[in-house]
Amino acid sequence: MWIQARAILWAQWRTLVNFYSRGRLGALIFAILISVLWYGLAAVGGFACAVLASDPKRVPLIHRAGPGLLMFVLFYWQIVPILLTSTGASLDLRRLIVYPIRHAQLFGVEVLLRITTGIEMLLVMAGCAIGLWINPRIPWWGPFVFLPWIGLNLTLSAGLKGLLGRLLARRRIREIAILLLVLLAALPQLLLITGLPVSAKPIVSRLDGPYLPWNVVTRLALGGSDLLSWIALAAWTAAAFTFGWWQFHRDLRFDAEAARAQSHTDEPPSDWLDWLYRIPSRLAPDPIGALFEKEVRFLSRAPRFRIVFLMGFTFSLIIWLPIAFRGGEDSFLRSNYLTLVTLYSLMLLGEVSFWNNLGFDRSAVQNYFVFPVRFTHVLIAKNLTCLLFVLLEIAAVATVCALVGMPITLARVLEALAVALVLTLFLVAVGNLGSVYFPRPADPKQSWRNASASRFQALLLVVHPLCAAPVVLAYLARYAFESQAAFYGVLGVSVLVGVAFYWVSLETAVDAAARRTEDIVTALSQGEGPVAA
Amino acid sequence: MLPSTEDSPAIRVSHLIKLYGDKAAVDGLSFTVPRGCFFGFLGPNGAGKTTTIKMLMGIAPPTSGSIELLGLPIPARAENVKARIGLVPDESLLFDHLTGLEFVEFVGRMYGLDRAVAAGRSRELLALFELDGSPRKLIGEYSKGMRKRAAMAAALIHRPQLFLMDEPFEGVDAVGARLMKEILLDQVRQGATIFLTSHVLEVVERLCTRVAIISHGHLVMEADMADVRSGSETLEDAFVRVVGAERSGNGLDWL
Repeated sequence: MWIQARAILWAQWRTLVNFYSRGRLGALIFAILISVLWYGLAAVGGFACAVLASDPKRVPLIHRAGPGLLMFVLFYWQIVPILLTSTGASLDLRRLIVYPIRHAQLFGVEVLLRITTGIEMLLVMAGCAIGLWINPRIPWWGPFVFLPWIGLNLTLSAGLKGLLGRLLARRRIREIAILLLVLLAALPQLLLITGLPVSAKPIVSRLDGPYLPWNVVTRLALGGSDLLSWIALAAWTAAAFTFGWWQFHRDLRFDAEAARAQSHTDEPPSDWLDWLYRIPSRLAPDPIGALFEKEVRFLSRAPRFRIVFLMGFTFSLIIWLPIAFRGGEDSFLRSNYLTLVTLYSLMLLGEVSFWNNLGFDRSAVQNYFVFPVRFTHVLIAKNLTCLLFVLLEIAAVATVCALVGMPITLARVLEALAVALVLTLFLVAVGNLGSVYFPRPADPKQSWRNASASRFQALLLVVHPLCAAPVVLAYLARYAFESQAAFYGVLGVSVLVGVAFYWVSLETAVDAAARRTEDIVTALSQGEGPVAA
Repeated sequence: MLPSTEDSPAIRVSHLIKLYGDKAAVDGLSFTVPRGCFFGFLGPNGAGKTTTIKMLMGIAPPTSGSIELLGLPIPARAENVKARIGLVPDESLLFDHLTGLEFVEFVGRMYGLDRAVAAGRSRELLALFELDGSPRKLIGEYSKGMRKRAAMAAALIHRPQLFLMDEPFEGVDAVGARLMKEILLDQVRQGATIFLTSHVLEVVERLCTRVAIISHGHLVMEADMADVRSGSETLEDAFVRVVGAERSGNGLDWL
């Protein structure tokens, strides 16, 4: 009885149609173009695999390369969606659990939805299957071995998603888990410069074991038919299915509210913490002071902001290491490593602070329009908060660099600070406009997912280079005139231009907010469908 | 052989406890709702009403204790029970990007109705609740009262035997509320049981045949409405008395 499963998919389809049919045509076209481009690349990869796999002379090569490709497919399907902060589509069990649906049906839909996290890999696998089908040296049933392999990936992905989702629902653990994941993303980069540790070599050599799933699938897909390989494939598939089903069942019984409450105490915050929170109020008169304090309290308590802030001085440092330290001692990137990392952290912070500064605390947004405060003050308070966290981020980056023995001097710190402040001025100015013209509801509890609207994210491809132009000019001036004075001179002029730009954009954003109040409030009140995209 | 469930009460809750961390949101709650009863479940803010109704709906698992709905234990027989229950949950369970018609049809199909039947009944229910005026309007664009009416329409689509309703009249205008009350009373006349939470005590007093009051997770009163009415007290008086919330003035000299 799949009536309910079909109804869920139908409702999700209607949700998407309603969402896109009421949005702007331009945004829809852009979304389609990006999808065509991205999946087109994957399709080209699939075609290349098909050409390679169809050539009878290349069977020995496929034997050697197949396990690597399948291992890549598995890791891409399981890990990359997490690292790209895209969890794909999945059932919103909280909304569906009240209905009389068999859990097996829900699990079936959930597993099917896992396809959305690995469509690229499905295209590659389809290419491989078609190639092998054409290849006269491969038995007809060879490509069908990919079916259990895809099933293994889907069920494993469903299990991992459930496990991770529950882990991330717990306070504190969430930040640590996300941080570990993003650091994991940076691991390959780090290994590039440090090389594989000796202690890790035996582990890596074990990845070539004959009965590991990628080796088994390659062997069987190419026509091998030893019984042990079939048993191994069945065992791996069954294990993945069992894991997925087990985790899904635990998800059904999971009480997120109770989990969140585990580490919650009713004790009031400590005096010193409250004193810290109250500093902004002393720096600016009310209402800006009160708004500034509220923003600092809100952002420092938002899991999503905290994780991005943490990433700024951990992940950013690692991810730029190979590029910066590949060159010689005098290379530009190496000598400006601190500035580079600071600017990258600033880009990360943008997603959770200035690009969508209304959507992030959507529940408060109506207040900004009904309180007897000028909207200018609201935006200034939000921008001051952003500035405060940028300064804290720079301090944290410099401290970590110093702790791990990076070449840090006071001049370097001051340079990073100056560059970051100039860039912040421009980015925040554009962010105010973006927040008013492209408001998007964002959940501060979600440790991942993009917060700004996709249209605006597309615009950022242009905005980032434009905002960075004054900084680039400053570096060019230093290079051309071989003078620090020229560098800081250009930055000084940029500050003047930036301040003017900031005020113009602020006034524009305030005017636009007055005109678009209803649109902003409506946009920030949107919910989701039975499947969370 | 399964025991007969027809003679069992509509709801039987025994020693129900729900802990959030160290804090008990519901603390040893026990009550029974007979079949065909219009049952009002009352309490001040934070008393544990929504937590209790969430446990009845199967959204939040109890820490301990037992729940029986229509004679069947929850969660062991949840699937069988859910098919016979109509829910008017809080707003978070609605789907904002569906139209009212699509949402009610979706809920019908979730209860296993054939697509054509669900679509037909959805149209009729939307007309009954006067939500058919703007068929392209999304639930996200509905007013609070319209959202409650949409939830109510969805709750009725499969003709349930038991209704679990969390603040069903919240935000509903007088005309809509009158319509909803008439439909609910009609359902009770036909043998259905209604369990509702509400802060509007006048509505509860007029509709319900039995009430329970919960405070700090404990049951502090359970009585037939006739008994409440027989004294000199109104339900509001009784409520204020048992939850211990009587105050004189606001105590703030600047106000």
